[in-house]
Amino acid sequence: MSSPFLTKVLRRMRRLAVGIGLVAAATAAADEPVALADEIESLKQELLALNRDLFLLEEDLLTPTDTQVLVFVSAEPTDWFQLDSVQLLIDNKEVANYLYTPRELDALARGGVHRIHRGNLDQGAHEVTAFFIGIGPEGRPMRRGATLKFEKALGPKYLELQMAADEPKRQADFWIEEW
Amino acid sequence: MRTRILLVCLLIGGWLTATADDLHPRHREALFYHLQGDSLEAGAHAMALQSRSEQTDPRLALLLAEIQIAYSMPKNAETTLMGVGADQVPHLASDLAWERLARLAYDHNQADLAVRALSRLSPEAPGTQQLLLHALLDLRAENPQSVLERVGEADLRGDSALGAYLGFNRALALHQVGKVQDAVRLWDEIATADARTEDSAEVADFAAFAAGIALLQAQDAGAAQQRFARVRTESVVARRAILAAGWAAAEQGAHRRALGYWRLLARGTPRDGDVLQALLAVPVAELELGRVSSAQDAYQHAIEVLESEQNWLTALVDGLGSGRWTPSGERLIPMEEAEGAEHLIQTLMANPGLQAEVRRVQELDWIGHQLAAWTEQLEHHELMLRTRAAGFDVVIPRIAARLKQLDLDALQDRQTRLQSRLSTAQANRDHWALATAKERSWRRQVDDVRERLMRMTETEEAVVLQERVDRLAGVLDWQVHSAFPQRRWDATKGVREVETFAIRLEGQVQRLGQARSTAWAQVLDMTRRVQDLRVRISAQRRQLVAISEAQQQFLKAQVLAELKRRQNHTDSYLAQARFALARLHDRELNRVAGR
Repeated sequence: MSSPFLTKVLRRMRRLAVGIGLVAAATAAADEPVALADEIESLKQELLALNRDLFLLEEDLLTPTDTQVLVFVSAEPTDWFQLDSVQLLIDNKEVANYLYTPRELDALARGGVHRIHRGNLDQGAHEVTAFFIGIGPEGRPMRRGATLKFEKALGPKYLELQMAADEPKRQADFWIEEW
Repeated sequence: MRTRILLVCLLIGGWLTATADDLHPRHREALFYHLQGDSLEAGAHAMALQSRSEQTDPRLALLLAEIQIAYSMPKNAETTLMGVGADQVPHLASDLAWERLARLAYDHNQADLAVRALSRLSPEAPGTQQLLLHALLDLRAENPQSVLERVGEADLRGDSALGAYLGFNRALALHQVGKVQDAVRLWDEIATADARTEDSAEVADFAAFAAGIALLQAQDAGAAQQRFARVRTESVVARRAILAAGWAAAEQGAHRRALGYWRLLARGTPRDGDVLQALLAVPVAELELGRVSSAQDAYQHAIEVLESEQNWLTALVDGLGSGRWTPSGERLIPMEEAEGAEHLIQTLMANPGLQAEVRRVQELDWIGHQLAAWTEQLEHHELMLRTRAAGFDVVIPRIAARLKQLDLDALQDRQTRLQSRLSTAQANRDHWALATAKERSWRRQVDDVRERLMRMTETEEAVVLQERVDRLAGVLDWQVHSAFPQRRWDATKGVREVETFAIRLEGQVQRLGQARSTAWAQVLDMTRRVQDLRVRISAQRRQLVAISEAQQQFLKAQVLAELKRRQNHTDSYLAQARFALARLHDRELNRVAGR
């Protein structure tokens, strides 16, 4: 069969096949005035700088470095525990209780850490307790805790609530690390 | 395109994750936001960390570059990556920077920059990615021979998705130089390999489809059809593969099978170009099967669908052109409310260029909301600072008064005296120095009685009394002596506690004094920062209005151009269908007249 329609179709198909390799370079954006794209990029750059300055201002205002305490959560994926939420107590007082979304859990599994608490503490001895709440083996609800006594000196204090697989014991491990 | 982006994410994201253990939590917090697609938050965290660090961590800079790329800031990303590449950093970091820059440059049609970036890679840099980029650049420059010289069969092993993608491009180069059989063999290898990831499966679909097209062009319709059948139904090229499978069947004279494919495809939405082509292919197959009446019906149906499509497109173009539907900051495309507009949006979003433009409108819209939220946030900060300043008015004089009352020297003197007394008692083993007040009182009483007895006449009774008093004094001495070690320990501990308290108090006094002098300065500094941010936000809001307007106008022009392009296509298909139907009618009339 050699209808002109087929020839046209084949020509289109061939263009498509070539396009696969060249990765569809021709787009409507190609005609866009460069100035507008540059202006948008410059606006975004200023926006990022603004957000950075706001973030620094907020930290200086709410949690000055001398008293600042930041608590992070990191969670390595494991077959023995599926994290749902984390409850955090400092000096026996609940300061955070956070329920994770699937998107956040995915980000945690890929190496991100979540800041669960930002607050102020006086110098001296303190105690932090974290409860990791989730689903354990065979779909059973599980709640595991970790505690750490630490000394708060002048300057920011960073604590990391960690969860990782303990392969030999076939279980998840939970602990708190000081930075 | 998606494949390539995914691969890059895998490579750089994987490296970041793999080396994440020793990264500070603040760094990984930026990564946490980036992995969730929140570029604004991720960027602010990464930049804040950079501004606080004395040393630049190349991993942080690479993360920032990824964030900038994700936030459509290619020029900033270019600068960041060049900075990492040029710095004295480990090969792994600089190679990642140059390789990422090459990809970025390729994506933005900057071939020279891509080549320059590739030339900066160290000999240790992974070869497959370099080869892939070189191959893509050569193909874009229409130089397939160079691809074949660079990429040998041996290079196609290794990472499955990357290797498959590289192999696909080598096959494309083979096809372009006329080595069709070799190209098809390579595409077949890719299409039939065990695809362990979605990326590999997608490349396999494209390979099967490309092999099918090449075979169809080479007049081998039977072999082509086998390749089209390998394309998965969920693939992005699935509809095209169905359409092409129909033509392959028709080429082999299997018109009933061809009709089956095209009818299946023709049930889809007319906004899809492949569906429109299938609509016009159906009557062709009907004619080949000798069913003229069915062919006429099929043409009639195609004409109705195309006319309806044409009317819809005309209404949209008129609506946009007359300004009845003007893009506003509040909506993605204000035509959303117009009849059938959701289909238009779907259709437009299939065009990568328009997709990017629509995303920009959305981003600008969101930036507007963000700036408004920040203005509100700054108002809260200002209120907080005012409250704090009012609090200082009350607290600072009180602190000053308390500081005046505190006599740290006197406290230290007392502590020194105590320490000295304790040392003397220890050195002299003076047990009575640590005796209790009651013991001292008893001792005084015993001494008093003893003195009175001394003054009495020495009688038998007095001697007995003297002996009793001596026994009492002995018991008292023994008690004080035996309690001495514990009392010495308690006293030492007490003196140390006083010392610790004095030191802490001194620190507190110093900090209070410092706070009193710096509190106002800090409040003033923060107030100035708040005001500065307000000014910047206002400027951004003004700039945003102008940019949004320009972007919406540009998008409107792009949408109009796209709609007109679709109108032209539809017009052309409609003309073809009408002409074919008219010819069929004529043929039928002639046949009847001939009888």
